[in-house]
Amino acid sequence: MSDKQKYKSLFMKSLSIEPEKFNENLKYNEIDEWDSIGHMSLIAAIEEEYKITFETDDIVDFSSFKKGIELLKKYNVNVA
Amino acid sequence: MKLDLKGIHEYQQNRHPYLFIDYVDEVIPGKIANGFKDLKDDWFFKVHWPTDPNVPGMLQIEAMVQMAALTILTLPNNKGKVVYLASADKITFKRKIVPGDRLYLKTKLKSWNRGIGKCEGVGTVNDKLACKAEFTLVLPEKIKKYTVR
Repeated sequence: MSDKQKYKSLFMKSLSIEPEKFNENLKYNEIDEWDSIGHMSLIAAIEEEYKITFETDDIVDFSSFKKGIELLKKYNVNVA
Repeated sequence: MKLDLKGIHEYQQNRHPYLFIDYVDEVIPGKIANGFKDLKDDWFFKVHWPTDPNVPGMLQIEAMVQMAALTILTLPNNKGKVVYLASADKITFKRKIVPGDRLYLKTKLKSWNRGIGKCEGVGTVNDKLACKAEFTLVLPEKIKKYTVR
């Protein structure tokens, strides 16, 4: 599985999204599954997978699938 | 720590007839909460069902949730706050719980991070499995600060 594929699978698993409902332009609150509670599950799953701890500012900035890729670079995680 | 009814009332806001904990034998904040509910002439027996009174499955889950919530509400600064059930999974009901039974509840907080608690609960009657579930509890006030801009 590629790095990006793994990142995608974290979204689908932690937010319980069916593959057909997922796309790379996905944004926070755009689907019911990615609400405030889903967001915390997603952040926890990413932190566990990449062994990192997000700063609070980065958690609230994590507003889309693409923004997440950008933020992860700050933690030396490259999933692009 | 043990909690009688007065202590249970101090830490959480469910009240009779929707309180499904009579006594807490042991609560270790952030880790476990164990205790029981004695089933007597509770309100739901009259309607579920008149000819075969037993505890509805959803209320068995509620009992496990209320007990597990104490693992969170006994943490510093959480006393008396409201905890919500966000999801439940791997739910199993194994036996009928009837008037006169003592439902013993053992719950564990598996993880607690930024206002989200992952829990598991088991209910037994006379040491026999009656119900079990995994569920997620949320302390809304804690997750507010992580709301996406």
